[in-house]
Amino acid sequence: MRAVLGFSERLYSLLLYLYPRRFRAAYGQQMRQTFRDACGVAHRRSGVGGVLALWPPTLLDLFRSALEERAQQGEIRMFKARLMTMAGPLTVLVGALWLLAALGDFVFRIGLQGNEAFLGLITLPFFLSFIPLLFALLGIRRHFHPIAGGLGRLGLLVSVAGGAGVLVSVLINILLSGLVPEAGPHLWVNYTAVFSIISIRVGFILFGLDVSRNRLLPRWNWLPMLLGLTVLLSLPLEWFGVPAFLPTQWASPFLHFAISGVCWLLFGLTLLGRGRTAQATAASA
Amino acid sequence: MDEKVQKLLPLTPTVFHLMLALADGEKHGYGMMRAVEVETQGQMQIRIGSLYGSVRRMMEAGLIEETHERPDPDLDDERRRYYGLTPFGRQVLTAEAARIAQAMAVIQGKKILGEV
Repeated sequence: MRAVLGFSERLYSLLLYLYPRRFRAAYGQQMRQTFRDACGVAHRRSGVGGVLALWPPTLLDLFRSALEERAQQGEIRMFKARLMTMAGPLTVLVGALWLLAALGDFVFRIGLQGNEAFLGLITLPFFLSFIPLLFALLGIRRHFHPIAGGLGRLGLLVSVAGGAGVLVSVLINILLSGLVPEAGPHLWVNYTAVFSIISIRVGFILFGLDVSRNRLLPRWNWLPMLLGLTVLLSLPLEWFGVPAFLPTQWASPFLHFAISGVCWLLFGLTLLGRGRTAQATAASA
Repeated sequence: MDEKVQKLLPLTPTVFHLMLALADGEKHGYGMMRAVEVETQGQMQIRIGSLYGSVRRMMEAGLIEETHERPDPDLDDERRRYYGLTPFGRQVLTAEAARIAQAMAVIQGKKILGEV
């Protein structure tokens, strides 16, 4: 019984970090005390079930009010500005991680077949890349939303949704594998992840059309389109096999990671250049 | 009516019920939550995040203040903070209550409750 109360209090204390620092400093201690009071009463009335029943509405309210407090203190506006600044470096990081995965795949294929531990090292940078990718996509959307046309905005929205989808799918997969390992592979989660990855690419095709038409980048205006089209260059190789003119059966994952990695890297560098141009323009104005 | 008071009306339901809860004396966080729940017969339940968000806004508007009096210091944790209405807060609450009473008179005049 005590354990449930203690765990609830500790978890609630951790969740208070979602609030802005100033708000937490002013009210954190009181909120913990009030939560302790509420848990105590719920426990006396209905036992452990009462404490557990307290959680869903408390969590919902906590997320909503933490967001409100952050918006009120201008932190969300600051976060959006930071996202815009970080879009270039994060996209470069995504490119580097994909290239690392490509390199890992290449080394694995030529010399270390059968070493499962090494295979994990290839997939790790690939899966890790989806964390910076989501923030990069959010930043790219902030960058281009004011200047893009309807098609570009739709593409960016689809990409961001895809980025969020793939990250959530990976997290759900990890959670399910941890909680119910005996249930086996969770196909629907994998399908969601693949669908989300394709959404990112389709979004970039739409965004790329807009960028090419309106020349929204200082250079390489074809890059976003190519980034989207890599899905056509790489995924069919996964599904239908590698054509005869490619040397070996392992060309597909390597090509997928390598082409996409180069594209993300170049696009990130372009964003960095665009950011510097915008800063210089703002400084001269 | 004072322009400063007028500017704050109408109060949000949460702020109105929290101020109503404090009308009969200082209360700490959980005390306010419980009072609102009891006084609205369970129709309104204020959760902790919303409670302290509202407390912050009410403090900033000068409607409530932290009080240093303890109902029973021996029985109470000294880290607990108590809140009470400021004189301005009481003025705002009175004005809001008058506004609601006026609306209530119209409701009764039109027999809206009688038709339910």
